[in-house]
Amino acid sequence: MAIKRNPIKDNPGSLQIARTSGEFLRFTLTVEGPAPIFSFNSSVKGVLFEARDFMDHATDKYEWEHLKNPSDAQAFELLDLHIAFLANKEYRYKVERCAGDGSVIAVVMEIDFSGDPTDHTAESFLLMVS
Amino acid sequence: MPKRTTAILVSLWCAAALGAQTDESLDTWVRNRIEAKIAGARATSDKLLVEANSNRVIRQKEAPSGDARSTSLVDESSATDFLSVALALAPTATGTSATQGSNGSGVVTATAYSLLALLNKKSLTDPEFYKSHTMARQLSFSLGSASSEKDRDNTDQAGTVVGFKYTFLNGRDIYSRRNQERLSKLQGKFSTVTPVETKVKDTILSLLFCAEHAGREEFARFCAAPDTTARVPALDEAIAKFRNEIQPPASFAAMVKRVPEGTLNQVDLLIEKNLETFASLREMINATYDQIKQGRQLAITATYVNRPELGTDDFHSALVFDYGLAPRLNWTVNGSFDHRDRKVGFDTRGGRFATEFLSRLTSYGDDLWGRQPITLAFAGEGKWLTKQKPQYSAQAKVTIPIAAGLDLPIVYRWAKRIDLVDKQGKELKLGLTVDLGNLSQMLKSR
Repeated sequence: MAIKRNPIKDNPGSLQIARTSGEFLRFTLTVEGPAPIFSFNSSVKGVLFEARDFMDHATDKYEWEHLKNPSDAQAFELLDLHIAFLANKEYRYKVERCAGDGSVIAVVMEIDFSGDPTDHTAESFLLMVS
Repeated sequence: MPKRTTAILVSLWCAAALGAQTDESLDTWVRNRIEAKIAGARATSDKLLVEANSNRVIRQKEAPSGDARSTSLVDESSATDFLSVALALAPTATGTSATQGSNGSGVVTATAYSLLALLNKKSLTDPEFYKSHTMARQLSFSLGSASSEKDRDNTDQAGTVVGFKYTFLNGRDIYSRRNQERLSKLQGKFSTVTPVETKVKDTILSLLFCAEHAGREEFARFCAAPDTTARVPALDEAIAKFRNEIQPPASFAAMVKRVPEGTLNQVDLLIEKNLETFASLREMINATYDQIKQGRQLAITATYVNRPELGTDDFHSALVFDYGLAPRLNWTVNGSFDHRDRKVGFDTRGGRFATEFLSRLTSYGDDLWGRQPITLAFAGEGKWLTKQKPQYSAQAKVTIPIAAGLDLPIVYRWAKRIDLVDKQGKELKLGLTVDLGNLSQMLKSR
């Protein structure tokens, strides 16, 4: 196991989002190929996204939004990104808190990961929606 | 490694993994605990430890074997992924005429892919570029100089080496159809197993929260049976606050030290309940890696050595087959046609057969682009040329990594009937291989 985790802005652990005012989260996973394998999970709903869900897979950037769609909203959940290094040596995981109009309110976290081919790791935080 | 030593190492590793290290967060602590349990289960069932890496050393970085001064008796089917320089230094001991008037040889090998990436200013691992240039990774070129010997080559001036290699069967390329299917299956498994880990982690968080809030009446009902569905807003806020507090690794390590043994046992039980699921993902990752790295490769290679003035030119074409017999053992076979074009005297033509078994003696370091492992290879070669007696050689080679991207091959070679001279000879050779791609990636990642 030789995973390197280098936070540019570290994981806060938990986050509260004002869904009523239209806030949502934007996730960006930047990869340094050639073939990323990842899964973005909710403790309540299971897998929300995986690499194959993206039309242009394999690409160098994967972006998705959470809570923009009302059906995403859970009062309380653990959001957990799992990444594998088998065919992709580096990932950068960025979470942004956005206002209803799409503008970025704050960068919640931004972390670089690298690992050996047989490694896999995860990064999670608790999300409370009000 | 003896079973007992393996078991002791696993126990030590498990013990280290089960406490919280100062750089661990909840995520890494849970992951490490799962991996330790998997390794522990494997050790007790008398299986080997998780093999973290495999034979990524099997790429040709040395000068092609057609160069008599190369430290390689066989050609491997794939050149280094990117760009490498191989320098054969002077022999350290003499036993044959090979040392007379010798000049060092140096060859640069590059894949068409690396040249295209350079021209397009793309990263070598850019996913889209990598995906769309599979063919370019199958073609590599070599350019450099080959040493000459007066007795053998009719000149002591170095010749120019030009060569290419095309790997038309590449079972180790990630974008081969079969490997794409493997990776797709692995993604499927990943998406089946990791949500279980997410759930387990969520419950572990609750268990740790309850251990830290023991005796708090408002949480007693929840803590009696921690369950994600039994939460109320006040409880959620308290758990979220707790999650924030334990996010810094130092705080997390301190918290784990305070947690009673009973809670840690509950955590372990929860992991063990799902251990089969977690282990199945670990098995699949390792198996997929081995399958890709042990894939069969078949390549055609051609090398031309042009020597100045009346020196003898060499043409060497070969069919090269590589196969990973085991994660640490690679087998290579070459069958070739050789032509020596003598400007003075008669030409010789004929066939050549060579084979090599290469074993990795040490594991890879922590850094993906770091130092390569030490390898030991045994190779044999037979040459049957017109107007010459058959020639046989065998060699043992130890390759010692000096630093990331820099390897030192040490070769002991024995040969019978060197060209027209009917005698036996042996020599010790030293070489130096520089993998520029590896070197640059390593420096970049620093």
